[in-house]
Formats: sequence, structure tokens, C-alpha cells
Amino acid sequence: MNAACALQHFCEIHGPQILLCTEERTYIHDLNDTENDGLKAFYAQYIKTEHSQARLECKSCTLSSDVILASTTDSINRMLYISSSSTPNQELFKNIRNACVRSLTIEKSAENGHPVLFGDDASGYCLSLTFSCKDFHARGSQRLYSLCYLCNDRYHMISLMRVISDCMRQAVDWLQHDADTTYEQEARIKVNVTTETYIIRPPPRLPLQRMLIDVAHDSNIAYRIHALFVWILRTGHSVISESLFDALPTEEQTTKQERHDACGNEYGRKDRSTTVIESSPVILTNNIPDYFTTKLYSIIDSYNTNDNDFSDNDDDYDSLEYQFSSYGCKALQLFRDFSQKLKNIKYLQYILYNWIIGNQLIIKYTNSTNNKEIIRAITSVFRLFLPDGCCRLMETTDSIPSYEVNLILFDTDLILTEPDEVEVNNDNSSIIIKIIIDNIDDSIREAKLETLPVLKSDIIVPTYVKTIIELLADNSLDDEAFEAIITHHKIKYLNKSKLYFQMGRCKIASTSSISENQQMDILHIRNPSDLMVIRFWQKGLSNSYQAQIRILIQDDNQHRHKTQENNNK
Amino acid sequence: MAAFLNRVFGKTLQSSSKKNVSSANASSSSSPTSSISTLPLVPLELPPWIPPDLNRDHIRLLVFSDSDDVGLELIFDSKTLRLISSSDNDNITNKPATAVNTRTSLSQVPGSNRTSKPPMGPSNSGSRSRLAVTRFAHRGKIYELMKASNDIRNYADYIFGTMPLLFKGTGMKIHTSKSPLQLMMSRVFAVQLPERADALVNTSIASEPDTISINPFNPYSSSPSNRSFSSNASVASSTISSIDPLGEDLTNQRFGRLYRRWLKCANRSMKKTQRQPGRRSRRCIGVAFIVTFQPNELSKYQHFEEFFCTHAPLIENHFHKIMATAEANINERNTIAATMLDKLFSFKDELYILYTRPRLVHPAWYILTQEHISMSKRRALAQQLCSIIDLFTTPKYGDFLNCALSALLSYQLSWLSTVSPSLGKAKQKVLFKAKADYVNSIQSFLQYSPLWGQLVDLFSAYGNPLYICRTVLVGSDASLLDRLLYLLSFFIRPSYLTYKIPNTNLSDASEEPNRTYKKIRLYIDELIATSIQIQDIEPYSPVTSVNWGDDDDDEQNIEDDIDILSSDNISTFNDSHVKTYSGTQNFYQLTYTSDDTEGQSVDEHDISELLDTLILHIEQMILDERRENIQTSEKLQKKVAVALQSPTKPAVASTPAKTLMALSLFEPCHLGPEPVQSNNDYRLDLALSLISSVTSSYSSDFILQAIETTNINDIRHAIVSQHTYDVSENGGVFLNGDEIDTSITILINIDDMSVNLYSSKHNEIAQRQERTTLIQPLIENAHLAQQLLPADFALLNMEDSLQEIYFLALAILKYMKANNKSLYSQESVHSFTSTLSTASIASSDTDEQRSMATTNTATELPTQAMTNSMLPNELMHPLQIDHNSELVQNILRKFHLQKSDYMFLENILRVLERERKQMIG
Repeated sequence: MNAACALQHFCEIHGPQILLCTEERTYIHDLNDTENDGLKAFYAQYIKTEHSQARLECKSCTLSSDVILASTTDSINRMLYISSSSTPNQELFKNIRNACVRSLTIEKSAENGHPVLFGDDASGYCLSLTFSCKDFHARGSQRLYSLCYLCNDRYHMISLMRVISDCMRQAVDWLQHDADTTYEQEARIKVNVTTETYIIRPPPRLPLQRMLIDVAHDSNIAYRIHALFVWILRTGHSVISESLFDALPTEEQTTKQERHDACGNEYGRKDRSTTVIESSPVILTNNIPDYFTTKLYSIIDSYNTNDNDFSDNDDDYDSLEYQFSSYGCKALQLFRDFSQKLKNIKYLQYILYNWIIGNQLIIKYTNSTNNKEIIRAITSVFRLFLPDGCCRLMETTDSIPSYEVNLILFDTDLILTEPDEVEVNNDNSSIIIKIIIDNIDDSIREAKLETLPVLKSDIIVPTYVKTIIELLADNSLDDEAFEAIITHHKIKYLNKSKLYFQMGRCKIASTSSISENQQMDILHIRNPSDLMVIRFWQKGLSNSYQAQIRILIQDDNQHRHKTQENNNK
Repeated sequence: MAAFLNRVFGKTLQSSSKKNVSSANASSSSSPTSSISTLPLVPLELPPWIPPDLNRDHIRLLVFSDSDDVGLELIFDSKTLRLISSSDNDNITNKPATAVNTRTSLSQVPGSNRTSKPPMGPSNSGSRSRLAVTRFAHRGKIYELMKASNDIRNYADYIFGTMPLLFKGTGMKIHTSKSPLQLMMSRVFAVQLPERADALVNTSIASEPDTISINPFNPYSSSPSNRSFSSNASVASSTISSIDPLGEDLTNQRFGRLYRRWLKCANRSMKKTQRQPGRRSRRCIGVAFIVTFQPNELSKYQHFEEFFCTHAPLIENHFHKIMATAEANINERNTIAATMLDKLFSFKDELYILYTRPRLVHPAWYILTQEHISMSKRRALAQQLCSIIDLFTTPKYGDFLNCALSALLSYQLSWLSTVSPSLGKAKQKVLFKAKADYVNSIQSFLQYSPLWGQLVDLFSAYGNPLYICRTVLVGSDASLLDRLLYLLSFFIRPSYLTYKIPNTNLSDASEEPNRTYKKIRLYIDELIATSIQIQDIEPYSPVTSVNWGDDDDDEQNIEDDIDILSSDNISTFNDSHVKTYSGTQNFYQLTYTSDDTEGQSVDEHDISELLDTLILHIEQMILDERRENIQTSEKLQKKVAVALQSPTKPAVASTPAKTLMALSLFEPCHLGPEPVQSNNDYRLDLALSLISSVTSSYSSDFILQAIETTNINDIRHAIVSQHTYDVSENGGVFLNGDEIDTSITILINIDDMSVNLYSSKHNEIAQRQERTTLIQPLIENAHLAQQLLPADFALLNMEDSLQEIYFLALAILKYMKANNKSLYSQESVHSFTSTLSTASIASSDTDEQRSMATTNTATELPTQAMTNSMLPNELMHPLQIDHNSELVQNILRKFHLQKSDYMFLENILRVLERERKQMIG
């Protein structure tokens, strides 16, 4: 799969021989961990292939007298390059061997110093550059070598052909340069130091087999070649790179991220690990009085000590406890159960309506078994209905009302205050639901809407609520499908909110200058409550999006201004 | 926040406003937003199209034939081709006999020292004495092929190699040279056609009946690489086939060598499924084309060479046609020259068109995703797009634009990935898109060519079985065509290429004539000096080797190495395996759901983790594959088990420990000048190359083209014949790997405002694209921009609308799955998951074809009639659904869609489903 580089030599006695091959391999372990057993075992394979002693005796067929094994790791790209005189990878060995024979004996390049690209799909493709090095002791005073770059993907190979051959030519030039220098020294005898006169020695009668190490007169030549090969291979990766474009994260993801970032700046890691609260950074940073926060956290801390099993993943800021996906099917079932227990579809409509247009929802529940899971599962469904940025949730036993959160989980068992008091403290638009959980089989025994809607129900049910109710009624849906469909609708309405937000920032299109009907036309909605939903959901837009829009507007205004000025002139 | 904004917009507020001053004049003068129709299309300082220069006459075609009995012969050489003047015509037509015996055997070529066999057979004896000349008529003209030129010998060597291999090498070669300036691409492939009766009949053919038909146009896939080996192997396999391969005799040590051969062979055949035909006398054809440039045209040559490197698959596609013709006619001695000439002409034309056809210099998507585009420039572009949309939505055009976009977005799916939410905080944001920065690393270990990725994007070749998609605009008004082309180019979204040509010059620049490498040598010496030496690596000596203790070391290695590889990998995977999979799953869900768990923060760390899991994934796949291979032999499987038990730690340390040098990276670019960031040009970037601007003829290479013509029938014919070729045996290869199953062309006719789909499945019949409600918001956003909001917002909102479609498709997919699930759980409770997975696999296989069929069956009939006429129920499949089926009806109802919307989504659903499966499965 990966590319490889090889240096080969045509031996007078043995024919084409591989001197060094560099292969690459993906590598993800810790690079400094030299004690890694797996890595050692990997290296060990290369040594294993060394022990063909017979070849060592022919000097021409070896690169240097030592056994070469060199490796280089590229930690950024997670690649490991390893060079040795052979490879334990049989498939690769076969290909290199094939390329070796072909490049040194069969293939003919159109011009000296120009590589040939050859190959087929079965044994891969090879860009080979055959070159000769001067050597005083060789027959004809030169030796034949070749450099090969091997790769299985033809298109990849062709597209890199030009660059790789440039690199290879450089490497070859260098080797030849060194060999030339050695040759100059060996072939000529200086007879007169002052006049720089030389005598050319006659070539030796019997050609000698020499190693490249001697030919180039560089004891480290193997490592040099290794370094060059790694360079070539890496060049092959880096020459052409493609950039893909994804969409930016969705608004929900972005708001989460922003909250996370803000939180991360504000609190230490330890605090975060125990956070159960979902709330916006604004609240956490500015609005909540200190005593409130501390109190809350202390409660939560005590929770955590009690039931650690809820938070397996302590390090996550966004605890999994209100994730729809972490309850999945069960949550959906519970919610269906809950809606049935409400006994009146109107009540459900009423609850959902208020919930999605941003009114506060207080869920009071009894919790005798200290089993929060059910209530959290139900909450997760509620949370799913709203975009992430719109949903602020608080789990409390405290009676202090908060206008900053729109979902309060109220454990009625844990507090001693009278229920009446709580109600007094809440504003009128709050919806209070009471859920009694069955102690025995962990099901909902009773669900009650405490703040009943005004009798002559004048609310226009938003389309979104209708959709939700429809979906709840469809038993064929599993949780995944349910979630996906809800997500789609959320995206849809968030997009409308974006548009609404944009219009609100524009002078011409600002909401004041257009009638509500026109707005609804533009947004493609037929229902005034839908408009309310869209208005509220602007909260779900991320800060970065809002900032971006503002900048665009600003820029646009400036632009307009200037063109106007220009026109006036 | 400020830093973030800078990233978004590429510059600070101050500087962007400053920029406005300068660019305001330019853009305001060039793009008046008030008048729509007179809007010029090039408001940006883009380089104009400069046609490159290519002399068609300098393309030379060589065709050789090489067979065991006759040796190497030159069949066609366009250089020696001569057009005979009409006065000569009379003489020649009277003497047709000259064409009988015409081939030049290379052994007669002067200067030949080829060691090929001397020609046998009586037919060649006569050619020695006289000029070998072929005369033939082509399109009313008489040509003659002269005696082979002197350089033929060399070219034969280039194409076939200087030494005859043990068997005729098949494959591809590319030669380049500076003097003369030329580039040669050659292919050698084996002839599979039966020899004609009058040819020499070979005895060996009879010995092995040719039962396996190998696609001759894919010769490399069937031909062995290492010939000497394969011939041995096939001998071995044929020997073995008489023995029970799993019998004890084979595993006995006496048969060790044979056994191993067989093993190798089995491994090979596992990989290449096709069995090798035994060695027999074969005939190969070598075809080469040579593009020559004049010695003073170095820059032209380089331009062409770069173009060639990036467009190789497309050029090869045309070259295939020559190969096919050569093969089909190799025995037609009298006509081959004429047919080759015919093909040569068309090849020259095709190459010329591909190289020189004017491109859309500024595809909208490409320009808008430039990183350093200024805000005002972008706005100008956005305004253009909006005004074009406006233009095409005037009442005169009706639903035309809606249909056109529906068709394009339904089949050209490169936009899909650009609207799927990013996995994490992107480092770079370009036009409200996140630039995925992990791609590079993936690229380096997957070893794919980014150009290949682009080609897939451009042809929208995502499906499996493969379909490819092209879009053709026709009309008589060039300016309208131009505008629509520009608009559509916004929705064709291939990846963006960056070239970083490294400084490859290692020698010290100052002393060029006498190359010195002092600096670089010092650098390397330093590297070597600072390298870490790891001393304690001991040679690996597998425990199992005792079983195989014999004196044949070479053979031994093969076995051991297999063990080492597998055991090593297994040991690596044992630690990380479990983690890998759970990790992967979590990760991938992220793309599709917006769970808090996954969504919270995908930062760099996560991405690097993703990479790790991907690597493990890939390694796992390789391992699996290898294991599969290994399991073909029970014996080996047993051995793997043994190896597993034994720790990888070496037991014996008899051989002395070796030293490993761990060098750090060699990066010579630190020394020299910075790598060159080359400007992307169409010759380097397919995204710029495969969208042609308005021309007058059809070319199959371009995925989006506008043709100014009134004769639509001609274009239609060209499209249909291209489809036939695409799916034919010869042509149906996309990037030489996959067979094209369906070839689709969207034909948009501006004149009569129709949008038709042509498919290779139902060639003559077009399907009219219906209006879809899903696309409508896209268009309306643009309107809004004209009236109320700045044009930038329109772009933003258009992306949002596209994303909405994406999420809708996901929701529908899940919905369908859920419904299938309930369907299945009633039928078979026992193995629900397996049924589902197999079902979906099957569906993606068979259904694609089916639904292609359905979407393309007909016609310009009203939808109702069409849908009724389609789809009998026998192929009713969970995911392949009759458009009238209950499920589809449910979907339409549930999601408030129209039928045309569903048809629009169908293709998207299919691709998404496949992607999901690949990712999670």
C-alpha cells in the first residue's frame, strides 16, 4: 500500500542486487518510547533477514560492512521509515526485486539521467533512475546503480513523477559527485606539487569489487541514503495536498463548544468534572451570585459522592446525564408513557408549546428511591426538543427561583419547604409538571400538569409541536430515527431563526419595518406561534454566528456608504 | 474572539475596511448590482484564458506486435505515414497487391541487435529485399506507410525493454527525454483474441484450453508481474492440482518447496481472484504515443508534461481506444493501418481538445473558497450568483432553474460533504466552511493521489456500483450559457489542491557549475551524529521455526516471515483493538447526530485520536486480509495459532544483537529557499480543468460544459454514444479500477428550458427532471438577497438550505431503517443485526441499478403515468423501494414531501447510506 525507495546495483558477479530499501509504515506509538516491545519486535524482523551470510562476502553487493538498519519517524504524519538491505515484507520484496531486475537490465531510458516509469497493477509501479558511478577499480571504471521509487497506485505515481524524479536526480548527483571525487584521487598521481601536474594511472588489470561506501568514500553513506530516501518519500506525500471543506459545526455543536470554552476559562478542571448544571456561560460568569453557585455545587458534590454510577465519565464537561442518546430508546418510551399519563393531548401540547417558545418548565418529582435516572431520561427528551443554546437546565432542591434557566428539576422529596412557596416564587408563565415515580418498577405512576391552561385554550399550536406529537404517536420509530427527525426539524427552525436574526440586524429588513405577515411569508411559516418559536430560538444561535453576521452587516453598511459617497461625488 | 474573526475573514476589520477603499472602485465599476442582465461575468482580476499550444502533428503513434513465433514487428508508425498526392492515386489503386505483405520485422531494421527470435514462417522472407510499404485508403485519401525509420529500434527497446523477458511483459511505461523534447507513454498487453486460421497455429494453445476470459483491456490485472515466478507458479499449481492440496503429502517436508510455492500462489490468487493462464505462446501488442516538442519549446513541454501528469487517467482513457482497436484488428493485415490511422486522428483530436479547450477560469466554488479572497470581492461574487439566480427565475423561465439545480444536486453529489458539519473546531475557516486539516495525514498513510480524490468528486463517482455524472448545457445564447455555467459551478465542489513543490536542489546554489554539497553534507553528518542508537534489538527467531528445520534457508524465510507478520500485528492489536472500535463508533456518530457527548469538543487531540483509530482500522483491514489469505491453508492457520501462543519476545539470542540507527528527519528545505507555492492552474488542478466554458462541441472529458448550438440532436447523439462507450467492456473503467455501471448526463437546454436526464441504462429515453420543493428555498434565499439582505447572507443561507437537505436525508434514512427494523423483527427475531446488515449490503448492490433504472426509465410522460408503469414488486427490498410503496408514501406524508422530492433524495440517500455503512460497519 505504501511507497518505498530502493537503491540497487548491478554486480559483476551476481547481477542485479538490492543494496538498500526504505519502506514506510504508519506508526502511532509514542515516539520516544524506545522500550516498546512491539516496535522492537518489528525491528527485529529486519535483522532476521540479514543473516544471509553468503551475500556479505561479495563486497559489491553490499552497501557497507555493517549491517544497516536505520529508522526515522515522522511524528506529525505518523509515519515510520525504516531502511535495511532487505525487507521482511514479502510482497514488497518481490516488487523491489522485480523493479531491481527491470531497472538495471531491461528498461532503457530515453536519455541518460532521465527516469523511466514502468509497472503494472499487479506488481506496482516503479520510477527508476539508472546511473553510473565512477570507480577506479571497477571494470570500465564505472559501476551501475539505480534508484527506484515504488508505489502501487499508478495515478499517484504519475502525478508525482516530475517531482520525485527531480529529487532522485539530486540524490544521484550527490552520489556521483562523491564518486567522482574519489575517482580523481585514486586515478591520478600528483607528480609535481607546484605545477599541479598529474599522471593518470592505468586502470587495474583485475577489477576489484568494492562497496559503495568506498566508492563514494563516505563511511556513513548508508545513513545518508536513508535520509535522502526518507526525504524523497516524504516529498511524495507533501507535494500535492488537498483540502476538503466541511460545513462549520452546527449551531448546536458550536454553542456547546462555546459554553465549554467559557467554562474552561472560568473554572478549574476539578470543578468542571463535577458540574451537573447546564447553563450558559453568561450566567455562570456574571449573573449568579457567589453564594448560589457555591451552594449548588456543594449539593452536586454530595450527589456525586452518593451515586457515582451516574457519571462514568467524570472528565466530560457535558455530562451524559441529559443526553438523549445516552438514554435512547428508554427515554423515548418513558416520554411516551409520560404523555399518556397526562391523559389529555391538549396538556401535552400546552407543555410543549410553552417549552419551545421559551417559557420556564418546572418538573417536580418524587424520588423516594433516589433514582434520578427516570427523571433525567424524561428531561433528556425535553432537552432534545430545544436547540442546545436555548436550553438551560438546573437540578436543584433549592426553592430559589431562577429566571435564567428554563428547566428546573425539582426534587420534592429532598426539600422541606412547602410546595406553595415555590409556586409563589415562580412567574406566571412557568409550567409546573409533577411526576410521581413508582418506587417498585421504576415507571411513572402519575404525571400531572399543575398549572392548567386557561380553559378556553387560545393557543395556536406551533407546527413543530404538531410534528413532535405526531412523531410520538408513531410507534414504528426507534430512538435513532426519532432523534434524527427532531434534529432535522431543529436545523430547519434554527435556519429560520438565522434568517430572522439577519433581518433583525438589517435596516431595510428589520422586524420593525416589516409586518408580521410579511415576516411569516419570508420565513415560510403560516402560524404566529411558529414565529414565536423562531424568535426564541435565536438564543440558540452561537456567539460566533452572531458576531459573524454583525461583521458582515457592518462591512456591508460601510460598503454601501462608500458607494453612496462615490455616487454623490 | 478577535482572533477567531480574523480567522473567519482572513483579516482584521480595519484592514478589510481599508481594503474596501481600494477594491470598492473596481468592484463597483465592474459589478453594478442594479442591472441584472448587463452584469459582466468577470469582475475579478482573474487571468484570462490563454490557450496552450500543442501541435497535433507532433503526436506520433507506434504499434508493435510481438509474438513468440514471429518476433517483433512494427505494425504502424505514424511518422512514416505519407499522404499520396492524387496523381499517384490512379497508379496505386490499380495495384492493391502491395498491401499484402507489409510488416517490417524488426530484425530487418538496420542497426538492430535485438536478440529476438528470427522470423519464422514463409511470409516474412520477402520483406527483406524491398521497401516495406503499405498503402491504404482512408476517407477517400490514399496513404502509404514507408519503411520503418531508423529510430524504431530504440522505441522498440523503450516499449518492450532491451532484453526479452522470460515472458512478454505487460504494463505501462512512461519515458521522457530532453533531446528531443518528448514524452512517451506506452502500453504492452497480451492479445486474447484467437489467432486467425491462416496464422501459425501453436501447439501450446491446445494444451491449455482458454476457458478463462480475461478482459484484454485490463491486462495488468490479470497478468503476472514477475513472469519467471508466475510461470513456475502455474506449473506448480497445475502439479498440485493433481494432489490433494491439504493432504498429508504436501505438508510433508519432502514437498516443502512445492508446498510453499503453492502457498505463494494461493496468496496471489486470493488477491487477484483471476487464475493465471499457463505459459503459452502469446502475442503482445505494444502501443505507444509520443508527443514531441521542438527544442526551443521547453516551457511548452513542461506545461504539457505537468498537464499530462495530472490528467493521466483521462488521457489513458482515450489511449485505451487505440489499444482496443489495435487488438481487434491485429490480424486484419489489410485494414489495420487504416483503422489505426482513423483512431490516431480521433486520439489526436481528443487529446488536443482536452488540452486546449477553454476552461471556465473562475468556477464559482473555487474562487469563493480561496483563502485570501477579500470580503468585498466575495460580496461581488455573491451578488453575481444571486443576480444570475434572479435572472433565471423571472416568470419567463418558470421552474427551469429549480429543475436544473434539482438535477444537478441530485446526481452531482460533491456538495454533500461540504454541508455535513465539521468534526471539530477548524483551524481555518474559508467562507463559512471549515477546512479539514486532518486530510493531509490521512493522505500520507493512505497513499492516494489527491487528484484521484478530485476526479471522484468531479464525476461524483461515489456510488457502488459506480455511476458517473456529467452535465451539459446547451443553448443558442452564449451569455446565458455562461451565466448558468457559472452558477452551476458553485454547486460542483471538488476538493481544493495545494501544490508545494519542494526545493529539490540539494547542491549549494552559489557554486552551480562545480556542484558542491558542503552545507547539506554537514547537515546530514550532524543528523547521523545526533541519531540515537538502539543497541538491544535482538534478531527475531520464531519458536515455530524448529518445525521447519531444514537446510533450505531461503524457503524457510518465507514461512517465518508470514508468521512474523501476522503474530506481530496480532500482538499489536491485542492491546489496542478494543479501544479502537469503541472509539471509532463514538466518533462517527458525531457526523450524524448532534449528541452532546460527541459534539462537545472535537479538538486537535480528538482528531489525532481519530487518525490513530483510522490507522488501526486500516491496519486491521490489512491484517484481516492477510489472515484471510493465510487461512486458505489450514496448515498455516494452525501455525498462526502457534505463533500467537508464543510470545513475540525472542527466546534465543545466538546471533549478535544489531544496532538500529534512529535518525531524525532530513529536511533540506531548511537550508535552501522556501518551497515554491505554485499557483494553481488548470494544468495542475482538475477542479479548474474539467469545467469547460462555452464551446461548440461535446467532449466527454468535461464534467460540466456549455455548448452553444442549435442542433441539440447532435449533442444528444454524442452523449448517448459516450454512455454506450462508458459502460462498454472497453471503456467502462473509471480510473482503471472500477467498472462504470451507469453513466449519467444531465442535459440542460436553455432554449426550450428543459432539463433531461440521460442514462446509459436507458439510452435513448430521457427523463425529464421535475420541480422539487426542496430546492426552492435555495432560490428564494437569493431573491431575499436582492430585496432585503446583503448578498453574503444569501450565500450563508443557501448553505444552510443545503444542510437542511442533508439533515432531511439523514432523518429519512433513519426513518427507513427504523421501519425496516420493525419489519424485520417481526419476521426473524434471531439474528436481527445480521439480517439487517446483509439486507442493506444487498440493497446497495442491487438497488443502485434498480433505482437507476427507475429514475431513468422514462420519458417525457407525466410523473403519474411514469411511476405507475414502473417497478414490479418482485424486487421489493427494504431499502429499494417502489415509489408507490407504503413506506415511500409514509415518508412523503411524514416529511411533507412531493414525489419529485423523493426522487431527488433517492440518490443522496443511497450515497449516504453507503457512507454510513462504511464508517460504522
